[in-house]
This record gives sequence, C-alpha cells and structure tokens, in this order.
Amino acid sequence: MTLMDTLHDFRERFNTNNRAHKLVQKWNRIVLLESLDTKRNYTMHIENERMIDVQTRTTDYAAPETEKVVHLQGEESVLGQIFSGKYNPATAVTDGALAVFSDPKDKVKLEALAMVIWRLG
Amino acid sequence: MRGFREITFYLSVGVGMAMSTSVFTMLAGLFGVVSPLWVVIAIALGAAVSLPIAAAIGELASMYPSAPGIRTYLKHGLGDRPSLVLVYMYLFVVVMVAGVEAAVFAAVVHTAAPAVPAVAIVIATMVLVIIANCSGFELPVGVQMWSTFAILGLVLWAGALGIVKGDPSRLLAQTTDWSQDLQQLPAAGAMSMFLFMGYEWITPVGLRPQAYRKGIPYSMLGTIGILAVTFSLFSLGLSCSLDAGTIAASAIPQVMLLSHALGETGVICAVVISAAAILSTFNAGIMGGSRLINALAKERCLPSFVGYQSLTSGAPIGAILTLGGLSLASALVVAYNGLELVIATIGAALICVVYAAFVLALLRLRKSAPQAPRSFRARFALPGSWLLVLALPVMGASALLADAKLALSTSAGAGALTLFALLAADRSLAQKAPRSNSKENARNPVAPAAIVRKS
Repeated sequence: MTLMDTLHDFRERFNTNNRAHKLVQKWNRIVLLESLDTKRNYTMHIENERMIDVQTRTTDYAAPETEKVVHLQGEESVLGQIFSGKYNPATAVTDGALAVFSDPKDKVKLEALAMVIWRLG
Repeated sequence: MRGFREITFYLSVGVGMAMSTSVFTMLAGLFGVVSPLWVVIAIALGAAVSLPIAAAIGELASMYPSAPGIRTYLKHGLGDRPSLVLVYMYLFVVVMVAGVEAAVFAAVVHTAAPAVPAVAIVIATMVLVIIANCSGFELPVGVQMWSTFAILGLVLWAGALGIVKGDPSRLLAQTTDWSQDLQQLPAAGAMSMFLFMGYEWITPVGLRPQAYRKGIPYSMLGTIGILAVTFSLFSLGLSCSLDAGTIAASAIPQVMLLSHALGETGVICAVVISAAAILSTFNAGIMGGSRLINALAKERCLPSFVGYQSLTSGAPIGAILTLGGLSLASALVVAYNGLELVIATIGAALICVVYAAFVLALLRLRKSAPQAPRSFRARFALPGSWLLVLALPVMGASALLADAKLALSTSAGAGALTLFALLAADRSLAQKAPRSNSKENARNPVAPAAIVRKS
C-alpha cells in the first residue's frame, strides 16, 4: 500500500467520523507531509470540517500565504504508519521520527485527532 | 510568520519562560552569597556558561526538530533510563518553580493588599491557571509577545530608576572581601543560571524547518544576552538603592526597589510586573510542561489517566491537572514555610545537572552518529565542552552549600528529589515494558523502536 493509498483511506475515515468533525470546527488547515527519504510531498486540505482533497505535490511546493499550514516531516514509512494508525504521532515526535512545524495548538489538535480516529491514547 | 516577527516570537518564548517572578527571589539570594558588584559578575558567569549549553541544545534541536527536547535528545544521546531520570528531575524543578512562582506572586500582592491572605492568592492563582489551561485557553501570540517585552522594559526601567535615584557609590562601598567573593563565585554562578532557565523551551516551537538552521539556536543565545543585560541592570539598581543585607532578607526585592524609588506607586508597579511575569511564565510553562507529561503518558511511562485529552479542544487535561495539582501543593508548602530561596536553589542545582546532560548527549551523538544531519553546528572546543560537563554538576553542588544556614535543607531536598527521579524512572520503565496478549497492545501496536530521522 502506497502512502497515497493510506492517505485516501485516512480521508475516508476522517470524513465519516463525527467526533473528528467536532474537533476540527473552525480549523481550516493544509496538512503538508514531507517525506525525507523519497523526497515526495503530499497535502491534505481540511476545510469546513471535511478533508476536501489529498494531493501529491512537487518538492518545492509552498502553500499560499493566506493558508495556515501544519508541516509534517519524516520518512515515508513513518508517515504511512502514522496515517494508518500504527504509530502514535505524539510518540513519533518524542522518538524524533516525526517533526511537526506549526502553531503549538495545531500539534495538540493532531494528537487529539489520532485519539479520535485511531483510539490511540 | 516570517523574518523579524518570527525571531521576535522565539525570543518572546525564551524570555517569557525565564522572566518569572521567582527570578527576583533568586537575585535576592545572590546578594546573600556575594557582595553587590560580584552579583553582576555572577550573572555574567551564568550567562557565559549558558551560552555554550544553548549552542549544544541548538545543535540537538537541529537533529530532532520540534521534539520535546529533554526527552528526545537525552534518550538518543544517553539512553532511555538516564533520559527518564533527568526528565523527572526536570519536571520536579518545573513543579517546584511553579510553586515558588505562585508563592512569590502572592507575597507581592499581599504587600499591596494586606487584607487578602497570601494563601488565598496562591490557591486562586493556581486554580485560575488550571481552569484556563484545561479549557484550551492560550494567550494569542501577539499578546504573549507584547506582554513579555513590556515586562522586560519595566524591569530595565526599574533598574535604571534604582541607579538614578540611588547612590552608585554604595556598589563599591559594600564590596569589601574580594577573596571571599571569589571563593563563592562558582556557587553564585550556578545560582544565577536559574535566572536564564527556560530558553530551551524555544526548541519545540519552530514554525518551519528552516528555523532550526539559525533562527532557533540564535534566539536562544539572544535570549541569554537580553536576560544578562536586564538582570545586571536590575541588580545594579538594587545595589545603588538598598543595603545588601536588606535585599538578601527579602523574597520580593522588586517591591522594595520600586517602593523605595516611587513610594506607594512603586508597589503597584511591582504588582504589575509580577502579574505580567507570572501570566507569561504560566501561560507557556504549564502548557509546555503538561505537553511533556502528556508525551510521557503516550509512551506509557505514566498512568493512562495522565494522558487524557479533551476531544473538543485537544487540551491535555490529565497532564494539566497532574502538573497543576502538584504545583498547587508545592506553592502551599512554599508559602506556609517560606521556602522560596531553598526551593529556587535546589532548582538551580538540579538544572545544572540537566544542562550538563544536554552537553554530554551532544558529545556522545557526535561520536555515535557523526553523519546524522545537523542544520546547525555548535562551535566549541572539545576540551571545553568536557570541562562544562564536569564543572556544571560541581557548580550545582556548590550552590546547594553556598548559604551555610540553608545548606542542610537544600542538600537534603536535592538528594531526595534525585532519589524520587530514579524511582520514578524505574517505575516508568517497568510500566512501559511490553505486556504480551494485552488488549492495549493489540489496538495500539508498539512503534518501530529503531526509527531515526536519516535525512
């Protein structure tokens, strides 16, 4: 299963989870995933409590200045494990396997999303 | 947020964490150990020692960007168990300092409003902080930045006022026994490191990967420089206005200085400075500390209720209640027993050990993972860094023994906390050891152990 397949699967779970919708009220973000080993970038666009698209991006991708971005950086396998619920993102950050660049509140939101979608506590 | 505003944000995080109400208590404590001129020299020594530590932390942060520094760096550099011992030691310092903060703030408010009991102020402050953090409230970034720099301006102004309205000749007149001061300098230097504590909290808040190349490391160095100038000026203001013995006997020298210079208005100014300082420190500190505790709970190092998070705001409620509850207990113990300086000194000593561990972790990682990518490299000589690793714990121990009247309490307290940290680490390791056939493991598979950022 490629990371893109995993992200599409995650999108389905996200869009059908009411608790996730509640958590992301008024939280419109572009989640940028940067794979450090394969040098591929992906984006997930969350708007009005829905994940409206998942896309592959070029390595020089820069989100529009007007958008709020949550930037995740790690190896592709790590990103795949995180978005398939096999690796708690909070633990991945502590392990130094994942880096998250964003407003501190957004990091908390991501951890809570993992709890809601994957029941990772 | 880019460019100058981004750097200003990082500086405000570092300065905001360090610029707490309890730093004034520690400044008063320094006047009890060395004479006024040497207080400034001790601050300069504390800054000089802190700079290479900050550079080392900057390099570690560039290897593990956005990670909860102390846990991640020390785990990779020194191993799981030493890392946990030092994390618990650090968390005990956070809890104790939060207690001192609330107690000192209560003492300041009590001076302005004697009718209000100090204990009531302590409880009200801590409960307010806990409720605000549990509801997911955080100061907007702009307010946090402005309030931090406003405190900085007020402290600088208070120091300048003390010099202008005081008598500068007092400074040398009170410096008589230079050999005694020289002997006490390592202890005073270690105590003054308490004044800079908190700059390392800049490392997890990087807003973009490029920040770890220069922005974050240099902001830590800048924070130390700004604080050194501010505290030196404030100490000079104190020295010119008041006797060293009077300063040393007080836990709230900022109130004494401002009331000496401005009368009743000065007391109000001191309350404003202290309120802004506690707001800034608690806003960043309780939230930052609770995220570290939350991360430990997610690793199963702590009981699962500690990792409880709100599913509407995401706030780490279990960790906030744990940290806030312990801090409230610490504040009450400090306020009832007048232990402000004892606790701050223990904090200074333990933090010297933690900082030494950061430098040691970097030295080990340079040897074990020389090719690991680092977007920032600390430029210090190897013998110098080993000297730092060895000297810091010695400085910390000398801080514990600096004041003969407090030596027993500080040494016993530091020893007890070190023992608790060892026991807590053992308990955590036992708790997180894989349990076969458990429901939890089936649902939450253990993460790959050997994943390390390679590029």
